[in-house]
Amino acid sequence: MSEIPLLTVNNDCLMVTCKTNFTAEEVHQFQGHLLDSITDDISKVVFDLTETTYLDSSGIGLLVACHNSMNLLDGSVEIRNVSENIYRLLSLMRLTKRINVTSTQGDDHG
Amino acid sequence: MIVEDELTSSIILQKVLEGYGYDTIWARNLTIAGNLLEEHDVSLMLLDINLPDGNGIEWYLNYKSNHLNQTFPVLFVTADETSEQKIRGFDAGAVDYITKPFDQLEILARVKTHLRLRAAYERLTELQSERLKKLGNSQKLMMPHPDNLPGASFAVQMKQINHAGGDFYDVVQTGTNLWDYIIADASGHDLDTSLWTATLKALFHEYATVLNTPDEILQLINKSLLKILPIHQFFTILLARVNKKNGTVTLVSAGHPPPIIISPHGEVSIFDQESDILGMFPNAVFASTTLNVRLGTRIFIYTDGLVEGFEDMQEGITKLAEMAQKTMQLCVRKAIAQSHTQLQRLGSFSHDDSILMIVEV
Repeated sequence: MSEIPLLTVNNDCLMVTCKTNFTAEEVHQFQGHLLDSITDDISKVVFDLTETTYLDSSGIGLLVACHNSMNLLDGSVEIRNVSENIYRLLSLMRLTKRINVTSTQGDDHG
Repeated sequence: MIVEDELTSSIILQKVLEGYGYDTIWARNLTIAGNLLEEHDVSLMLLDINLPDGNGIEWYLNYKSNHLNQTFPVLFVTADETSEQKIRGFDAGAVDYITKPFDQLEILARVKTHLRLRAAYERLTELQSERLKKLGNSQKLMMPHPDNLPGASFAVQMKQINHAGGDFYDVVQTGTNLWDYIIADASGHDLDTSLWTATLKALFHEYATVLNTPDEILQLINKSLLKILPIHQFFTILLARVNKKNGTVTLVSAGHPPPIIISPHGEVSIFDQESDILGMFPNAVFASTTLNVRLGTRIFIYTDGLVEGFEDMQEGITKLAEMAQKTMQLCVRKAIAQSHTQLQRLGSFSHDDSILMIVEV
């Protein structure tokens, strides 16, 4: 079942609250909405993965694409509260060295 | 199927439909309807809403959630012409309505229309499936069979969920005693993903020469992919170069699950190193290792679909390493078949494509 992430704006920060699955199905349905929400006023995008237990390559692709795009606009991306498994996956891909990733254990990297 | 408790209504519907040449099955309540659906292949259902053992709309919602492959169209039968009732029915997934008292011509017209639509949909699905199969076959042709490269000493097992996917492998002889093996996993699960693997094959064959080190090969591929891949698309890759003359193996990883090395004596090494994915960063850093290996050493390289079905991917990798050790005495073909089967038996139920390759030095 598709679980579209929730988007909220707080000053210059766009908060993306992801649900249990952050996979091809969710990405396909919400990436357009995400792109529309990144206006000139947004300097930071925060992905909250507190509830996320499954992140697939499409989800990772979107996170990195967002990071690369925000970088070009002198903005930033943060990924918060990832589970241990997801943190390990992002580490394997060295993404914890490029993006600010916080695990639920409280490790801060990037 | 006609699901209708009123005898008169059910007889009218049966006579109208059978008079036109259709076969009908009658169920006077929802329980009987459910049982009959287990035994019969139904093309269309006329479903009364108010039945003695329940509401037709709620029953249909429940039936659909428990039978995700259900494809027959449902037309609700009712005396209630209110919009609210109709909206409820359409929201539940009904394709149309038939109201009482019945109009014979209207019943026939609506049934015929929806049967035609269903036939067209099924034909479209069939055509799509045939196209995907053809694409999958073409994709398989891009990947060499071990029998065609006996000098490469490898075995491979591939599983594709849809006929064409983003997992890919290739083997190239880059020098007299030099072999390059590549396993790649493209992000995403669309049809486009399988088409990008063709691009990767072309790039691999262009750059995999004795003039380029394995790390340089990936850097060159990365540079090319950055120019052409969509912004969300990437690959993870493991490249292994075996030098049979001097007994070395060079492993270069781009965000890929770690390769497993088994020595002839059964010692296991898992090369777990952080590295960037391919196609996303111009200043990508790949992890590279060169090992001196003995004759008979085996290298296990695979895509994440093989191990991510376990609760923890690390568990899957550990299990694969155990299987690699246990099957050391078998020839590579038997080793790969047994490893693959055992992993599935132990719980590797991924919804992703997977490749397992064993290279024997």
